[in-house]
Amino acid sequence: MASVVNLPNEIVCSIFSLAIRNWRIFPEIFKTGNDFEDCVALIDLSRVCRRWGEISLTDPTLWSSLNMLLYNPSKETLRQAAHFANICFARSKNLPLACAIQILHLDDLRFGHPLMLALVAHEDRWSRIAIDITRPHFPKLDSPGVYSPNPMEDSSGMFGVRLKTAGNENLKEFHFNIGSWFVYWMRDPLPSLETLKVAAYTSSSPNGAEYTLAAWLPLAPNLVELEITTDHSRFKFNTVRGETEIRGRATSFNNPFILLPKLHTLFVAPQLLSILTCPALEKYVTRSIPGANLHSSRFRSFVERSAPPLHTLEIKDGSSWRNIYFNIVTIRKYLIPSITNLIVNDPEAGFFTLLSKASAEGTTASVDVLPALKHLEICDCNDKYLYWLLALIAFRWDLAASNRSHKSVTLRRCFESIPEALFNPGGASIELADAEERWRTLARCVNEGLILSR
Amino acid sequence: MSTTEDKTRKVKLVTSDNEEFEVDWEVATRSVLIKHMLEDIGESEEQAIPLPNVTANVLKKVLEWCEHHRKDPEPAPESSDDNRKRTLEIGDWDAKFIQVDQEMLFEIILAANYLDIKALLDVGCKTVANMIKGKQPEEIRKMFNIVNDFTPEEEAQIKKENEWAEDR
Repeated sequence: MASVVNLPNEIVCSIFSLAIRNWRIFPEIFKTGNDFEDCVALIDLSRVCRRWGEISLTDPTLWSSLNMLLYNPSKETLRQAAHFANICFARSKNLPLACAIQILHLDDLRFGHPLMLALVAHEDRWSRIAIDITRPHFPKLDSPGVYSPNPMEDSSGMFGVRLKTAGNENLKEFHFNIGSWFVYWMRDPLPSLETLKVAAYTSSSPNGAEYTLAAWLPLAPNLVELEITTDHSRFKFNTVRGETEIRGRATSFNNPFILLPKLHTLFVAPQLLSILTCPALEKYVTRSIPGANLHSSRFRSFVERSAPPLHTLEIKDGSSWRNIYFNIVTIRKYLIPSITNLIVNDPEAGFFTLLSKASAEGTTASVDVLPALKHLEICDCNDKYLYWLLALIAFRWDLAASNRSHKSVTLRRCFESIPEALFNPGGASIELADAEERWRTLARCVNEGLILSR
Repeated sequence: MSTTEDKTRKVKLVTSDNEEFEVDWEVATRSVLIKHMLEDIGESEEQAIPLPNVTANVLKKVLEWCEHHRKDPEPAPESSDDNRKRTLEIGDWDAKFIQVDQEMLFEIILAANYLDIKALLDVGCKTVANMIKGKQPEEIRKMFNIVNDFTPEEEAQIKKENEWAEDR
């Protein structure tokens, strides 16, 4: 009579592998695959009986990806988690490591130090690494002063972490939201690194970001996606010593232009564009558009120098449009004619005004900015701008209809009052006479081919 | 590569309990083991293939699977990028086919492993993986009638080492 005990070890191992790949739903963190094997789940399987405990140890692939989510953990919990991580890494033998560590609502960043040390002790084998550590409460990003960080700076350097190899040729992705915690001492190339996302420098100057660029980019010529951001809402830990070192090293950053020949997507402040050349860039993302003319000039110089096929611009912070009447010349410099896709979050009145402006030049009326715009995506917009939106859509749809470029509008998490029928006409023409007066123009645009989606 | 002649050919299989099955070549060769044995014996149609590790009732079930999947393409070499292999998704027919008692389930897995029928082995492994996924050790022991052979001290030690993960 066959039972589970008759199965040979390699089949039980294969069943373990399938089970822990599907034990829970893993977050979509990495672009190069989120095929985690939940070695935390192996704890339960290894506790069934002595044989299952032994089988779980035989295959190092079962232990080479760690997805750890800890919510409001104590110091002791994090110490034990570090111990478990060490066990996993030892059992994974020499295989490349994929690790996603998320610690939410952590009171004291120093409690996470043993876990970081465990991770960095195996940095030679890093393949995909994502670390996201957050405080209990988050202030709004645009509310400076609300948050008063605890005086946890590590002036002694006791809790510092130094990276020396960062996976070398293994590393494909590195995401870290507290970039200032680590000091980067890598010297060898990182030829496989495709995605680099580092955040959280508390300094208001871009020195920390410049330091990160200087430390990573010369080693990573094959980057496809780069994101270096600042985040003032999180930890201040380690910044005294860390940023002192950062400033010292950033000033020694002499190469004015780092060439990233394969970079496709870039998310950095415009201030940093002066040190980059990205001839393959297709998408540029910025938190906001700074008012200073100096930065817009840097953006234009970057575009001229790189000559990229840049077609998508994303602006994360709606405050860019707040003082548009004062900054209109500056903002227009970012809206280069090659842009076909524009994504804006929380836009204000100035945005709708600028994009609804007609050109005064020539005999034929045309749009003044972004003449090639095909796809407009608006996220989290205040409903009070509904009529501005409707006017903008009608303006860009109707003007110069003969050579119209506009194709679609996507509305995310906003303007819920627009009737669903306008989003899903299903090929049928919307009967304008039946439509409520305020939606008629939009319905006509949809009838004529505009794609409206959520 | 199979020929038209192969497809009309019959193959005799003899189980461990001496029952003989005559099946189409195309059905029998879903098993890599049988395929290789047929290649070894050549054109001899009369020679039966002995399967000493498979009983008649299990082979009958395995052949039912092979019959249904006789037209499936040859399995590709091991590919780590096969998403279907990574998920526990099982096709509708296979899911119904594998709704058997535990004894038969493990017999099918053992037979698929012996006969080298990777796709059937995959269905069996996924079924067991689905059964254990998300369960506590005690539930798994109860489900499969596994004896807990850890000493109380060992169990306490393992539990203590993994306390941090209790609330994950």
